[in-house]
Parts: sequence; C-alpha cells; structure tokens
Amino acid sequence: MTKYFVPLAMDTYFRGDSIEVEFCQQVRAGGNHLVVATASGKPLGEGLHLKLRERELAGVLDEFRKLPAADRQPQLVVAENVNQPRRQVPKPPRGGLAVRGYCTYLKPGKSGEPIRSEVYYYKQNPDRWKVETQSDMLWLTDAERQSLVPENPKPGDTVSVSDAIQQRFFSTIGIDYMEGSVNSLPTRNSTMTITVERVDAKGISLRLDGYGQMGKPFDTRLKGEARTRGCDVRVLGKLHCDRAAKFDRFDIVGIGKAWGNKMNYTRREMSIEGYPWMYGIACELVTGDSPIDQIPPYNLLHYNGSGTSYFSQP
Amino acid sequence: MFKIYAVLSLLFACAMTAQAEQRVAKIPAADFERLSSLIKPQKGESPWRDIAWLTNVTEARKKAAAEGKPIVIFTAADGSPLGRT
Repeated sequence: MTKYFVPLAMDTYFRGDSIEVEFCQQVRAGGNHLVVATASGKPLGEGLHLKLRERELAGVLDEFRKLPAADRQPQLVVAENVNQPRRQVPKPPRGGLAVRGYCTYLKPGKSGEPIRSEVYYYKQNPDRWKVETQSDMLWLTDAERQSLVPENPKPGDTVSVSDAIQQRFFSTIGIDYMEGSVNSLPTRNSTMTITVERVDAKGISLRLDGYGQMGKPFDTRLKGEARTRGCDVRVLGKLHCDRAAKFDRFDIVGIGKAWGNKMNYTRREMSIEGYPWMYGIACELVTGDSPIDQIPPYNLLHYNGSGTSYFSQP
Repeated sequence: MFKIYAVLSLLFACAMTAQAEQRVAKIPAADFERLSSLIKPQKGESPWRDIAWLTNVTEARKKAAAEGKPIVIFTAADGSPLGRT
C-alpha cells in the first residue's frame, strides 16, 4: 500500500482545521466509504465503488499516473486565515495508561470451552462477509494508573479498583461492541480487584479479577424490544509493572454473555448463535506512539467531546 | 396481612438475587493464554490494520506531494476507522 499510496485514516469527527475540512469536502471524504485523491484535492476513481483491494486501486493508480506533474506533485500553498478545529483531537493523558481492547463472538466448543464463532454480515447474501474482531481503546489518567498498585507491595496485598475505572472499563470495552456504533452501557454491579502475586527485582506481578453486569437485566420477554441490551462479563488479567507503577504488561481476557437490542435496532445485520450469546474481550498495553496508537476511545467522542465526562468520578 | 407482606418481601428479595446472579463461570488460569490468542485478531483477518496509516490530513497531503503519490482516504461514519467500525 505505502509503495504506491499515502494511506490516511480519518476520524469523521476530527477532520481538522478549516483548510483540512475544505480539502475533505472537495474530495468528498467522509462516511462509510473510501476515497482516493491527489494532494492538490482532485478526486480519483469517481463513480467507482472503491475498496481496499488491488483490483479497484490499480485502476485509480493508472488514472493518477496520467495526470500532469502539477497534480501529482503539487506545490502546496501555506494558507492564511485558517480557522482552527472546533474540537482538538483528544490526546492520551500525560503519564497515564493506554490499553487496546478487542472484542469477538464466541461459542461453546465440543467440550464446553469457548471457541471463536464464525459470524457473517447478511448471512443469506451471496456477497456476505465475515465479521471482524473489533477494537477500541481505554485511557486511564496518571493518578488512576498509580492507584492500581498498592504502596510497598507484598504478595497477597489487594487493591479494590476505583469505581471510576470499573465504570469506564466495564461500560465501554467490557460490553459486546461487535456492532461498532454501540453506546456504552451503565454498570449495574461490578467488582474488580488487583492482587499482588510476586515482587522481585524485575518488578511486581499482579492478577486482576473482576465481574461486571451492564445495561438491562436479562429478560427473554424483551427479546424483540428496543433498548434492551445488557451483558455480564467476567475478566481475568495478568499485569506487570515496576515500583513506580509503570506497566510493561496489561493483559486481560474476559468471557461475556449478552442479550437484547442496542438502541432502536431490533433487526440485527448478523445472526448469532444462542440467546444470550457469548462474546470475548481481550486487552493489551499500548506501547507505541504511531497514529493508530493515539486514536481516542470511541466513547470519548460520545461524552460531549471534551473528555470531562469520560474521566469523571461517579 | 403481615404474612402476605412477608411472603411478598421474600419473593422480591429472591428476584433481586436472581437478577444479580452471575451468568459467567470463572476463567481457569490455565486457559488464559489460549483465550488471549483466541480473542485477539487472527492472523490475516484484517490486513488493513497492518498498514502504516496517517491520521492527519495536512501531513498526508505534504507526504503525497513530496513523494508523488495519491492519498487513500479511509473513513467511517462514526469515529475513527482504526477503532470501532
């Protein structure tokens, strides 16, 4: 991809300053589709339903190569009177913790152990495609990160994770968010405890145990009703940090059961086995600083965009 | 009347307990690594995740102009396409 193109993944809510927004409008970038354009703002492959596949992009590349040099390597003008973005892209909290979460569908295997469930969008459609593992982020502040490790830790010491962290974890990346645009679910009940397992020269090994109950309670009578989504998830984690609570491992797995319908969507695009159905979550530490490592959590956008509610205390 | 009230209270308490009942069994520690590998994206599942995406329009335009390449702009209707899609 990068041999022939410059790949840009753009957040629809943070398109940038007025010049950047103007560029996006000019090339009609935004929404659930792919656009290819020159740096000068000329859209390519117009009228084509472009996808991230060689057979679609090869033709667009040919079109680009036939353009005059002024379009292929334009002199970009530094604009004056630029209006800054209405909202700045949120950044990970300084000194905090960034965790990447994953979510996928599971089902019981032959011996009852969880295995991946193969689910398709529009199952009956010959052009159906497999549902992919979802991903989202969780951010903790510097103070919250430090609160996860007891002072002067020794094996057997425990920490009850703060209500704010439990609420944020369970209600955002602890739920089934396989349908992508899924609102957070309020946590009805939850527990999360961190136990010191070992302290040595390499650092502190910790175990995380937790259980969360989110959204609406389970009720088969509400199976066809809107706004009935609920779930339970049990989590187990293996964490490791140094004496300053700087983590180098933050691995969590979770098994969940989910039911009901998200928001007003009572007809699902994908049919899932079982009711309630099983899902799994997994988490890992974000250690890099590439653009993909910096994207904000989904629910940060849906808390008035300022982040104040995302980090608020219950 | 008191007996009716007592029975109703007991039934309500049982209902609340049932609501709080935990539906998911404990996760065996021995199954941790298997579950972690199982739940995370599988090899080859989402090749688009391995692309070195930029996320800033101006940065992408400058790079494309300098290198003489077109820009592939990947967007989603709700947030970043690199997150939930």
